Amino acid sequence: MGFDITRALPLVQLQHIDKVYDNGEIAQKVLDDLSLTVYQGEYVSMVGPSGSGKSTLMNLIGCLDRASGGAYRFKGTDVYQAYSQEQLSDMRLRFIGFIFQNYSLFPKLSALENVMTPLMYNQTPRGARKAIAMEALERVGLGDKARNLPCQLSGGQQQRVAIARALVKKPELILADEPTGNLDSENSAMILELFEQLHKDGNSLIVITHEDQVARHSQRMITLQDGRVV
Amino acid sequence: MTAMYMDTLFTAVRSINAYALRSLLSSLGIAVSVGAMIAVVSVIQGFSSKVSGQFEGFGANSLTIQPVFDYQAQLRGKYATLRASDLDIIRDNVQGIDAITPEITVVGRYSAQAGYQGKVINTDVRGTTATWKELFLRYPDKGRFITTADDAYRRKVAVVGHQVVKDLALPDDPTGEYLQIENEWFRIIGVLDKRGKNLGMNQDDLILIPFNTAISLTEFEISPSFWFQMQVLDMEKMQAVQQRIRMLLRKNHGLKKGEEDDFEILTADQFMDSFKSITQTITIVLGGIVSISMIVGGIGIMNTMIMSVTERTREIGIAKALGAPRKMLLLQFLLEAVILSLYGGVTGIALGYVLSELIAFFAQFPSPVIPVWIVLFSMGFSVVIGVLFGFTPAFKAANLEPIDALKFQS
Repeated sequence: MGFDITRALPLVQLQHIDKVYDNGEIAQKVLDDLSLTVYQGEYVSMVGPSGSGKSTLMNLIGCLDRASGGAYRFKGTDVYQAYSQEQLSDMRLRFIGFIFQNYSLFPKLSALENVMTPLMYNQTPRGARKAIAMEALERVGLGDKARNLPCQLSGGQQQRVAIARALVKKPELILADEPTGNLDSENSAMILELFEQLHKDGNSLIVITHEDQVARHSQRMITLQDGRVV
Repeated sequence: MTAMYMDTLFTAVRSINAYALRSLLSSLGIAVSVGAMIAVVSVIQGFSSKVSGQFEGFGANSLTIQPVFDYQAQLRGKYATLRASDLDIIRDNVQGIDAITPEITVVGRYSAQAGYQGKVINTDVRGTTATWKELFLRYPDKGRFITTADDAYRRKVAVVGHQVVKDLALPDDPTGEYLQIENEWFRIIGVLDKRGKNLGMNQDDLILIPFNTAISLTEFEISPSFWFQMQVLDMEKMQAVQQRIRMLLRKNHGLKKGEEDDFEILTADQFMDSFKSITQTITIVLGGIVSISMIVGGIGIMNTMIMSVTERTREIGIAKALGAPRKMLLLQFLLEAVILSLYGGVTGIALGYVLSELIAFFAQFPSPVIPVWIVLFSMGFSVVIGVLFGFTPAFKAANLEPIDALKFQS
């Protein structure tokens, strides 16, 4: 593989991250002094039992949430010092492509329209959107399903549409949360193959999973337990 | 920047269409209230423009003198205060007037009866002079009008309206036929042009006879319904003419200083002004009542929007995770409310149009007039209602935390 750690730049740098959920009565520490670096072009998987803080970590890396303590640098920029809530949203828009376990497509939009939404949010010129989205759909092998609504697609196809939607804005990082959790083995294999292809093309990927099968496809496996990397 | 507004607009329209039935129902409240408002206003405006038209035919330069009597005076049997001699005094002593025309209602013991070949009807019989036709701009269709000679010789001739021709089953051209009014025989000399109904009054249901003939026919020497009208040749002198007439009439009626006038001098402008102020008040009051129902309609829209935001919480979460700008989400939901409200407004305008035509048709009102201002007002009001009641749900949507929204299970 074309990844050379000596030449790669750090993409995600987490330093001494704490995350505490405080509902007023009990404070629960989900992440505890966690430090972690992911380099550009890396394909990393995060594994760990449920409750180990995987999803919380993904929310932090994906700028969906803030840490209670510690520092987060994305491409060298201190996220929490420099970015307001609105700028975090802009970070997500520009740098991060999300893939969720339950696909999270817009149910009333066609596959093509779903893939086009990030292009609307980042104000890609209107005339160019369709072609770019179509290209992304073809890349996941769904060029012929462009007009279908999510409910007219199988789970595997829906997840591929979601991947196309994550890819379409050419993000710095693709974040996948249990991407194969709802899929059978055949569809899972197809998704994982796609991830490998994306990695070969130079994309950075972080995949959260509890299946070793899935984790084995990655370059590096990070195991979480009780909010710490082990 | 404009591109963003266009995108947001399209997204808003799409999601409204995606929930078509619910959108329809939620904009129904606005539609009904706008419809009611348009119907009410346009029916009133229909009346107003019809009446104004009548007054314009009447002429802005006309003066009307009518009797004034209070209840006490009536109890003393003092019914009328104008008399035929007033007419002569004005004619002889006031300069700059023309077409001075008396009108007197001929009444039997209760009302005037007219008969032809055994058929008897009650109708409006009035005595007047040759100048009546110029004052009211109504001319005979067939035959001729009353002349000065008819009046001078107290001829028993009559000009009839179309309704009378119909009710008495007179021949199509009844000139030369004889009809009976209060047991006297009158020869029909002409038929008045057709005017139709105004404010429920049939303007074709009348018979005109010469003024002096009418005087000789009435049982009261001074009729309670005797008034006269004239034209003032020079509008500039309107005020002076009114003052001169007032002085002459007070003298002729023997009124002392400090006594109230027992007559009233009115101009067409005054008639129209008071009429306009009445219709305006009615319009404002009814419009106000209907506006309140618009607010109820707005609450309906807010309800739908809040429901819709809750229902789409997950979707909003996805959009936020994908990095949808907050401003865009805010605008999208605000636009949805405004568009729903506007849908209601436009439907309401169509509804109001149909409604007002139906009301006018079944109640036989003058044909309704929909003024441009009420259309613009209802559109504007719809937008305001949409923005006003769209704000809360839109803020609710835009301020959702992405992780909370994503976790939401509907």
